[in-house]
Amino acid sequence: MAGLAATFGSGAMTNPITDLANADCILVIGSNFAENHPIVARWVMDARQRGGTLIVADPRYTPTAWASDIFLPLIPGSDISLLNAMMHVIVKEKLYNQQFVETRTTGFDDLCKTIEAYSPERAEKLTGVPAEKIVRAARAYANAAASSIVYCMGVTQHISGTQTVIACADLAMLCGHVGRPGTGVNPLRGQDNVQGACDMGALPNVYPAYQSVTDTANRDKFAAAWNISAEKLSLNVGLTLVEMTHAIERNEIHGMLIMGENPIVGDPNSNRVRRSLEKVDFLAVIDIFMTETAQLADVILPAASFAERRGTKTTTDRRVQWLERAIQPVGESRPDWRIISEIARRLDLQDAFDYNDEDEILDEIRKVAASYAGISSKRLQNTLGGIHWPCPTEDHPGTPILYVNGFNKPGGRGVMKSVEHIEPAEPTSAEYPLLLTSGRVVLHYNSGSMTRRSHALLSREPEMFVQINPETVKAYGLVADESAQVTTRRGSVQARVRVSRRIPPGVLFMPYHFPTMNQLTIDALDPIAKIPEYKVAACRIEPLGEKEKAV
Amino acid sequence: MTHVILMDIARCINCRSCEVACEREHAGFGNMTVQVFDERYAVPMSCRHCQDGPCIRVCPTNALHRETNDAVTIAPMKCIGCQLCMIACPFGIIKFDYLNKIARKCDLCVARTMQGLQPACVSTCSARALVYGEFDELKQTVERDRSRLLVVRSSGETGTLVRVPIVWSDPYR
Repeated sequence: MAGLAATFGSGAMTNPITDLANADCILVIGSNFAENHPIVARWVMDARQRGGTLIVADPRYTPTAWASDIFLPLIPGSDISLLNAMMHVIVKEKLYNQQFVETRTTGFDDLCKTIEAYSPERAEKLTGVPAEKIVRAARAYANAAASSIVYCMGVTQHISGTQTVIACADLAMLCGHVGRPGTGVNPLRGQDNVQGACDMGALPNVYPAYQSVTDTANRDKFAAAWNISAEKLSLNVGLTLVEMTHAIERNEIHGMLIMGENPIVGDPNSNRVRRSLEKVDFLAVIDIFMTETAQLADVILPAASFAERRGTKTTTDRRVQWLERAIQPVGESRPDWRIISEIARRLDLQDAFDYNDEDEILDEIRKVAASYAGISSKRLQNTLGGIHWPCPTEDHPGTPILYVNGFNKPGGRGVMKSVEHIEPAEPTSAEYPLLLTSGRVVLHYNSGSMTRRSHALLSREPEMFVQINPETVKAYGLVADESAQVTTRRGSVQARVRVSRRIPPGVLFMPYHFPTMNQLTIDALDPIAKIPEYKVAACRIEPLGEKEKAV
Repeated sequence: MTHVILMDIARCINCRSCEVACEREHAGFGNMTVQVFDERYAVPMSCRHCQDGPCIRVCPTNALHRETNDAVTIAPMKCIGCQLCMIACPFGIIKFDYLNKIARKCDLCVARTMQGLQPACVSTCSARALVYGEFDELKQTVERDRSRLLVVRSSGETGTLVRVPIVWSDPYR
């Protein structure tokens, strides 16, 4: 998000998911969409079937990589070197789009200076990818008529996350693969409405539609829209999730309201998260299930599930869609907006939360967020497939492809920024010689608070496992399908050994849907986007032997 | 005019949605299994509904029969659980339901296809690796598409219509 905002001017997928079918070359870096966004595979496979090239950069040979024409098995955390080396080849072989670079971007000369040092041969040492493959990938990406970049958490969940995103944007601008069908830089968002949540300002630094909270003009605008005095709105940037945990330790936070989130399972270094949430004076949790986090709460407010709610969702490709409820909320549960409005009423803020239904909330969104101005609930309910923001007026068709005529930057020019390789926060050592990376499996969703309740899903993926290369299994005296103990500086966890040739030696992979995994991960943050480095931690592993269930 | 499910191994991503959808449609007993070979190919496996089904021929009680939608199905009240069909099946697809002591297999979602819907596994397939249609039409479509290195294995007799990717090299090299 921050990376794309710095280069393009706003942080979202530039093209719709369906548009991937029009690409002649797709570079997938740090995304295992076959497992984590299976629906995306439909259009990627269409592109491939038309004759398009699929390049997949991933430490593991994932189901996404199965379909690849060029597979780049890189060392976790070396994405920047790989992208810089690709740009090095493209500039050296003059494969870049000179006209696009000259008329639509700035910063080309600085970029050239930086990438000069990233020859494919040097990148081979940094990334572990053969130089010849980097050259082939660079040529395929640059020479295709329309090339798209797809990235996801494998890029962002590093301390170098923002910088890597900038490198992706640089590569796209260098080749002019932006603003046309089948091109673009496409971050796949993790949840069905996470793009919508960000659009609505569920971030510590912005109001809806990314309007900064530190700007007094914005404050006055929102104070007027919400019928409250301007002094009640803070001009200070708030804290992100992981920062909150740390602030509790410093006695700066005394009460918390958590909605639809299960930080004890989902957040890195979860032992520390648990200590913090136990320490906090008051904890209220709004959720549909009794999650691990809800068990610590003083008050639990039952939320309504997706089938019991109506309103909009904004998917990863900025597509705003209306969802009608199928049933009335069961029992005491209520839609989240009603719960929040009721809390607000008891805080004497009823004037700001004076809504009768979801349509009125959307009306307010249209007033305060220019990109949603033309998306009325009536129009949306009659538009199958939704409307892509920005949509400034009622008669505007929406904007499926961004930056057709220019970027949201001064002069419409995208900003190329040079970035350097950044080492992960926790390098391997003699005591912790292995590299642990985390991710997801297709059968579970995030912290598993929903999917671990489904028999059909849990029976197929019942327990914590650790995916290991046969060489590593041998070197550490492990036995296939038996339990092992994985230890990092933060915790120690049991998991079933799953031997796989599709992961390089020295690297372990564990899914984080089970309650224990995140005791291992590190809570080092990307300095800009504040995303924790889930993807790299130093660890060691010992055999346990007994065959009992790991979790 | 036989209706079949095309299994496109070149597109399957092993998401196993078809398995779960089949279970949901058939009251918890799924007839679809995705097998992974060489940690590299995923093959969705279910009944091919052969033209001349060996399972039908060996069934001593005529529990196995052909429905009007071309599906080979088992009448549960007639099945005596002898498991001969499981031995006869050339694809090893038929499963035994130990709770009810009867054989179970894909029924091409008769209840759905009669209403003009697609089988549950096909309609849920996110990568469109499963396609439901008329055998000859599907065969023509997949044979026309020669953009990738693919081979089409087809046999009207055994209802087989599978598209297989050819991969020459080791992905790490």
